[in-house]
Amino acid sequence: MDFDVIKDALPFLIPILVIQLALLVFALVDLVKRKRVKGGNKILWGAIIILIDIIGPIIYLLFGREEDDAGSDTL
Amino acid sequence: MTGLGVLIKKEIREQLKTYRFLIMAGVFLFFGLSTPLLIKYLPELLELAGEDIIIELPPPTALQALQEYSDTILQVGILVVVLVTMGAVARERERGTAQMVLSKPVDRGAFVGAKLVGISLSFLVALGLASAASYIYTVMLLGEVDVGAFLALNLLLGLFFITAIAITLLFSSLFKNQLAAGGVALAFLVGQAVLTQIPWIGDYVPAALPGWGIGLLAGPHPAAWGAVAVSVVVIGVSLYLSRLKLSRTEI
Repeated sequence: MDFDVIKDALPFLIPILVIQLALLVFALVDLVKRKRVKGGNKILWGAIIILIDIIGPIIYLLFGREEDDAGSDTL
Repeated sequence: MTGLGVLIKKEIREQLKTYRFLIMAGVFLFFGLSTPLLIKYLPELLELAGEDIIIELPPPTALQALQEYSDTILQVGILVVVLVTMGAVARERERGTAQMVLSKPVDRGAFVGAKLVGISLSFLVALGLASAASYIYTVMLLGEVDVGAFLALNLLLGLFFITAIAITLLFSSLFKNQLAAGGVALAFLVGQAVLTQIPWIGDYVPAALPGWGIGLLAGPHPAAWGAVAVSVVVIGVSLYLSRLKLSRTEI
């Protein structure tokens, strides 16, 4: 793959990267703010969010969050 | 149905508050944007990975990109439907929030109906965003495709997913445990997809809808109006059975 191909694809790649990054940051901010998570291990959830591309943040948002005392915002 | 309007508003707020809409939109947009890009650059990627091995591929086409997108969104969509719907009733019963809502003068049919409307709305908006994004990327990268056929495909996909949401809601009402509800719903949805392979019966199951839509992209395709009618009936019957179950059960 020559440099021209990467240069051509880059403008199309940027929105995809923005979506990935937005999900990652959103999940990480939620993880930091949340008092309790499933399994109790925030570091493990952090690793899942960061290391498993796109699916990691989704897994956390679907299954990782535990209700806070003030109310619920889990699925 | 008493309280339907209020409950629909509550459900839509819930979709945003629990990030369900964000999850659906994020996942669908990711696949909507990445599929045409992957199809366009697949020959270069294979060349890069294969080194000396020569793999001859026909030039990628716009039709191929949208067919691939539809297949992907169908598989991912079914999983997302089950994951976000399986706890809709079961988990609320578990947590006690269903008791709180149903202790007010609210029809049980309205309770389930509002969930179907709320989840379907956020699902359809996410699907619409992803399909629009995928279409724009396909046109920019690979060329024109019949927009009318793509719209028809999306309408059929939408009806199929609403049917899948109604079926999952039914199992969520039948089971107290959301994982059991999700597992049985997924097995049921995969099972009826297998039925499409059986001649005659296959034209009448809801899973025939995406096949009809994907076929339309390539040109005229035999219609499956029977599957449209059966899907509408399945949605109605699922809502009725969910209401019946909730009416007969001590919440």
